[in-house]
Order: sequence, then C-alpha cells, then structure tokens
Amino acid sequence: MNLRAAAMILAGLSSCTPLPESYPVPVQRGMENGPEPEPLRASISFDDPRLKDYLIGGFLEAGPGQTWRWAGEKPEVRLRLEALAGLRLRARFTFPHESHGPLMPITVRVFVNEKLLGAQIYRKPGELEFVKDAAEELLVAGENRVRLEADRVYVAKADGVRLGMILTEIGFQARR
Amino acid sequence: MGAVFYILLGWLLAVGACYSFGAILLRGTPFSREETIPLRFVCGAAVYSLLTFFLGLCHLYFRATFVVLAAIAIGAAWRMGALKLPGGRLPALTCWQWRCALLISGPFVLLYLSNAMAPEASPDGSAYHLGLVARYFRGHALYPVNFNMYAALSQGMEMLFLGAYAAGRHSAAALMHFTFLLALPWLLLSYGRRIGMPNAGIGSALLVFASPVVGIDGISAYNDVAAACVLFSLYVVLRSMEDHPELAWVAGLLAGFGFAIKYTLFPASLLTGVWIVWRLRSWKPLLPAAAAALVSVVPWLAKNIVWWHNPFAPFFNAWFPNPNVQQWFELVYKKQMASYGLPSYWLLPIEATVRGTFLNGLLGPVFLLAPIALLALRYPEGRRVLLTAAFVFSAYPSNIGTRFLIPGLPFLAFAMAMALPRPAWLPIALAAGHALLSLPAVIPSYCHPQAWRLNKWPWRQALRIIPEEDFLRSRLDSYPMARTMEELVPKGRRVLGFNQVAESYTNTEYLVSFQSAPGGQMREIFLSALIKERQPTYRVRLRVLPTKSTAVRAVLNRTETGGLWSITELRIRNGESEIQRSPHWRLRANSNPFMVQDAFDNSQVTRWITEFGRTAGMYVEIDFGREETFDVVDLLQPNDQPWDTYHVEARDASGTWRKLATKIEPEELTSPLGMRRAAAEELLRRDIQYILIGPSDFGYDDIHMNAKVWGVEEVAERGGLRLLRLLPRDEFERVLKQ
Repeated sequence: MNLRAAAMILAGLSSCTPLPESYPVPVQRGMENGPEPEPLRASISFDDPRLKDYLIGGFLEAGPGQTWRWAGEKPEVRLRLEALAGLRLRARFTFPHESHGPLMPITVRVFVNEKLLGAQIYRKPGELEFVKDAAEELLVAGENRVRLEADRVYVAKADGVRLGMILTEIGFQARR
Repeated sequence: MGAVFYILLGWLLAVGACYSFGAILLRGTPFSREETIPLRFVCGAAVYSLLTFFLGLCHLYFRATFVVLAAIAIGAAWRMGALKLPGGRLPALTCWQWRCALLISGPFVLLYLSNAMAPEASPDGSAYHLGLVARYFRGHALYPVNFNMYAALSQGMEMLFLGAYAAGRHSAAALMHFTFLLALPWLLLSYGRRIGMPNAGIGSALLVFASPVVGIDGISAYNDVAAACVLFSLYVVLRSMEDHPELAWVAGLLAGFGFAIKYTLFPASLLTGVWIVWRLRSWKPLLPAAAAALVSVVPWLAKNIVWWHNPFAPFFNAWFPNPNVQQWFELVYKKQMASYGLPSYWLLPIEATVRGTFLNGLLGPVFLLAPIALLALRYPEGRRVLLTAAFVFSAYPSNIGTRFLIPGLPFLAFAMAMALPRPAWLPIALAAGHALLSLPAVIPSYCHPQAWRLNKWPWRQALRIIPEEDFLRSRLDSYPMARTMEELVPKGRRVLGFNQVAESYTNTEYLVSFQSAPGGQMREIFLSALIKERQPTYRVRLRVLPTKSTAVRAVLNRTETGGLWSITELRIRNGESEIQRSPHWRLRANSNPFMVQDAFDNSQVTRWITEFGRTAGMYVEIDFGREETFDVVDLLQPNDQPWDTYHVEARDASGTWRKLATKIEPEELTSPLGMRRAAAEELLRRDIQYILIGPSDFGYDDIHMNAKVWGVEEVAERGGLRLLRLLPRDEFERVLKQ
C-alpha cells in the first residue's frame, strides 16, 4: 500500500519538472551538395586502396599492403560501366605450382550478371589470363557483378581452407 | 608496491567505514556473534552508500572526504563501544566441519583475492560501472550523465565503489565487491548453524562460493554478488524478526538497499511487506520497514525525476516520455535482455550451468541438480527458502544472463543442501564435487572456451610485479584505444563511438551511441549518409484547398506494425512558393516531441522519428503564431515510409481542429548528394569532434576509404579501432582543394 502511494506521488512529482510543450524552429542547415566519393570504375587492380568497395564475396582476408588476394571457389566483384559497347573482360590470376600444379587442368568459368560469359581450360599452373569479349546484352549501365568459378580448388591441409586462385586484376576494357 | 598499499588502503577504509556504521546501527540487536559480523558490514554499507550519494550532491567527492568519513565512522563506533562483539554464539561446528569448509573454500579465497586485486578488466566494470564512478570522482560530484542510460539505474553499489576508488582506484572498488563475496557464504554458514542444519549451511555456502559465475562476478566491479548478499541478509533479518518485531526497520533498510543496488531486487521490497504481514500478523511493523526502505529508495527515484524526467529511468518510458531514452529502444533492449540470442529456451539450463556461451557465464554443472531443491518443501524452513527464491527469481525473465541468477542462488543452494539431510556429509560432498568442477584447470573441460570465468591466479599482477599497463593491454581489447584517446583528444572534446570501451581508464568524454536517445540520433545521422533507406528519397505532397489557419497538422491515418514513422523535412507551401519558417512558429508532435525540430532544420541527414511504431492519429504540428494561407504540406521521407495514408488538419478560430480533404501525391526523388559531409557537419554541430569506429561497425570501411569526402582525419588506430577527427568546415574546404 505504501509503495503504491509512493509510486503515485513520484509519478505526480515527475510532472513537476516540465519539459517544453513546443519547440521553436531550429537553426537552418545549408543543403548545398557536398562531395561524393569517386564512383567505382570498370576495372580494378588488387593493389588499389579502394579494393574493398569492389569485392562482393569469396575472398580471403589480406594483410596490410598485400597487392593480391586469395580467392575461394566463387569470387565475385562489382564493376561499374558507363558505356556498354565494345568491351572485353580481362582477369589476371595465378595458379601456384605447389598447390594447384597437381590439380591441373582446371576449368575457369566466368559469369557476368549471373549469365555465363565464357569458360576456359588451363592446363599449366603459373600466371594466367582470362580474356573474352563481353556482349552488350550481358551488361548493364551501372553496377555489374562478375563471378569466377574454378572447377577444382586446393584444400589447405592445415586448416581446410579452399583456395581457388590468386587474383591480381579484373575488369572490362575496350576491345583491341 | 605503492599501488598495492593504496589499493588496500582504499578497500580497508571503505570496508571499515561500512562495518562501523553497521556496528552503530545494530547495537543492541539480538543477532549472534557469528551473524553480527557480516550483517554489520551489509547494513553499514547501506548507510555508507546513502551518505556517498548525498556527498556527491554536495560536490564533496575528494579522497580526503572519504578518509575523514571512514575516520569518523570508525572513531564513533569505537567511542560508543559498538565494535564490541555480542556474547550470543551459534551452535559450534565440529572440527571435521571446519576442516571441510576451510579446505574446500581456501583455494577459492586465494583465487578470488588475487583476481580482485589484479587490475580491473571486466567488460562492464571497466566500461560503465567504474566509468561512471571515475567520471563522478573527476567531477567531484554526482551529476547527470544523460548520454549514458546506465547512469539512470540505481547506483547504490557504485556509491560504495566510489569510497574505495577515491584512494585505491579500480582494484579497491573490485575488492569492495569481493567483500560481499566473502560475507555471503559466511551468512549462509551461520544461518545453517542457527537453524540446526550446519551441513546445509556449509554445503550451500560452498555451492555459492565456488560457482564460476559468482567467482568472476564477485571479484569484478559488478553488483550481482552484493545483491545476493543483501538479499540473504534480508532473509536472515526477516527470520529473526519473527521473534523480534522491532527489527522491522533493519529489514526495511536492507530491502531499500537492495533496490538501490539493482532495480531487479524490487521484489525484495514486496517480499518484506508480505513477510511482515504473513509472519507477524500485523500491519504495524510495516511502517518502520517502509520508512527505512524509502530512505534508500527515494533518493534514486528523486534523482531520476529531476535529471531524467522519469523516476524509473531507463525503463517505463511509455509512462514517462523523456528526451533521454526512447520507448522503442527500451523495447528492443528488453527483448535482447530476455533472449541473449539463445536459440531456444530449452537450452537455458545447460547454458546457464555448463556451457556459459550465450548467457555469459556458468553456475556450475552441479546446479543441473537444482530440481532436488523441491525436496526441501517437506521442511517449513525449506518452504520459506523456496518461497523467497521464487520472489527473487521472478525478476529473472527480464534479463536471462547467468549472473542475474546470482541474487536467488543462495536460496536455491540452501534448499538443495537442505534436501539432502542424510547422510549428514552428503551436502558437503556435493559441494566438494562442485568445487572440484569449478577449479580454473577443470572448467575448460566442459564449458565453452569463450565462457566468462576465471582462468588464472594472477598474483604477480595483483601485487603489481607485472605492471598494470601490461596486464590491461593483454586483457582488455579497448584499453589501448582508451589510453590513446586520453593522450590525443583535447580536454572538452567529445568522442562518439558505437560500442563500449574501457571508459574508466580515460578522462575523455566518450558517448556510446546506443546508451541514450541523443546518442541514437547521432548514430542515425551517421548511418543516413550511407544507407539509402534512411535517406529522403520520397516526397509525399498533401494537397488541400487553400486554407487560412493559425496552425496545421500532418496526421497519419493508418496503424501499422513494425517500423517507425519518420519525416526528414516537413514544408508548407502556398501555391508555388514555400512559406518560410519563422521564429514565430512553434513545433509539436504527439510522439517523441523532443526530436520534432529535426523535421524542420533543413537537413537531409536528420529525421524526426516516432517514439514507438506507426499509429493512426500520430501527428506533427506547426503553430504559425499568426494566420497563414497554405494549400500544400510536403513530407520529405525515406522510401520505407507510408505514402498513401495521411490527412491534413487545420485549427480554426475557435481552437478546434478540422480535418481537411487531402489529396496525396507521392513522388520519388533521387538520392541526395553530399550526405557524408552533411552528416559530419551535423555531428560537429552536436558537439562531437571525434568518431571511434571498429571493424564490426557499419561504415568502418567507407569512412576509411572516403575520409576526404567525409572530412575526417585518422588520428590513431589501435587493435582495429580507428579514432577519426571530424574536420571543421574551413579545414575541410582546405583539404578538399589540395
């Protein structure tokens, strides 16, 4: 009974410390447009400081200053296109001898916006390239998603991590 | 060793003061010698805590104050002869019983003492329990800290920490809690002796004392073990009161102190009232009990009324709307505390006793046998103990963390030990098994590796042979950044962060975004720069016939579950031109009026957001202060807001609100540009000069990659946490041109 009374008194008291009933118009902020980050580009080198903005998934973490990335089975990146005509996709990657040598041949398939752009079989490890013309109908103005898929991956014995390839560059460029 | 001296000095002065106040208070009470010692400490702590509260209001938080206070208390008790122990003794324990109790508890006393004396590295202790204590001590006063909702909780324990902290800093405060950890099993043991069940007393004392979560909590600057100790003291007093009704005020004092330590101990006050009426068959003793309880309770409620506009802050915000904590936050917070991400409540017993993953800590596997406590129902004492446990555990569903079981644990343990009366050694054997399973070397064999527990005997750190700095850097991830802020952030500058850091180790003004409504607003501003769904990409035009009125309202028509109603900008038009906002205008909203200005500040990164949900009848109002003619109300909103269900109301000359026929014209807008810098400028305007952001926080990569666009400069990076300085406008423009 006493507690109830105390609660009621306190509730009443709380209304004795009034908050404003209404508020004035505040100071008006300027609405001028500030700067925007530079938009993503059509290709990305893996030593670019903005690399993280391009990666969608399927990559292992990199150490500071690392200019390449280990990719898993299905690495995916986003690339921004303004014009769509006359482009080709070029990816530069490595299958290391020690890890991927025994796995060769490896087939790499490349998808652009979930549609197959092409596939290529690589019979020897080392520094490699995938180059293929990109049909205009596969592309969209703005963000395009590019995914690489290797049919065989190296499984690290120590921790079971699945390693697809080492990527160093990927992007659209004008056909030569 | 100088640090160790001050730690021990701070601790012993505070404990000495508490004990002395208790000795004065309990003069002439009928407790036995054994029970008197812990009861004096606990009751005296209630007085000491209250005095510290008032010392804070008088701006008297200085080291000398607490030394003088302790000297007065000890001197007065000595002069009054109150320190003399009473002659009444409890039935003696046998040599065998003493040996068991000491042999089993001994290693844990040493484990706990070494950890309590080691530098304070608990997450909440180093962040807000002692963070607030350090803040008050720095300011030499108890003052409102409205950007930290934990400052609104009752802080009876923090007041005790303050006394110890004044001389011995963090470890002295932790030792204060450790004292309750020692007093609690002592009380259980004594009570067992008093009721003729010494083995139940020993068994329950050891069950509680050796419990892993009790251990780590009790050596940290937390309050759960103190809460348990106060509650069991209350129980001891309530039982004594059956023969000595004059003890009602002591019961009231402890019930009130329970509330002052932890809101969730409110049921203890109810229990006291029920007990008095039930056992004494009289309403009379209620008066002294209630009066004594209110002495401890009222200061905290009054403080909240004045500083937080809500006596029960940070809860009950629906009853007491205020600008400091929002209702939706309270609901989300309560929901989180009631689930802890536990996949199923069926996992609760195993999580709370064995695994300790989700609920942060474990009681020990022996508590899986807790249902045997029901066997104690066959004894009258067992029924009383279990009834009390039920009262105490009634608050548990509101926060299911393992440590929130601690206040009820002594009662449960006592009932478990009572349930096993034959053979006589069985409760002690059970406790011995429990103690064995609770040794730091054994726990990892069954608990989750991340479970909150003690795993070392850090004597070298306790004695400061290994420097405090080294220990803290290895134990507290945020400690290096806390120290860096101390070095690099100038005095008077404020840092906004999205997670707790070891605030007690820095003097920097650090605001955690989720700890207050203004903090939450600033997080919204930050996120609005990055998340399209928070940006004003929709304009809902509410068109009415040209109307002359002194006030207008935009009213929501439909109630929807999920989501909050928000308006980035509200504009009034007459024909082609906007009616310019005027100093004569007064703005109101019937939900979250404290933020209504955010819809009228010409900023795209601030929004008025309702207190809770979207409900038909919610409105935003402009009182023009004179007659205006208008025909359009424009609502600039994010695209997740309703676009088809509004109407406009205007106030006529008689003061009556009239609903106007409203035509709704929604229009999609392009995303505004320059939001990053706009957000940075708005934060600067709100007196934030630095941002602390970690890898798990949204926007971590963006603000790093686009530092120039945001107008921020990275000042430091420690353990992944980045400290960024927001550049003032002129500096930003200069950097942009480079």
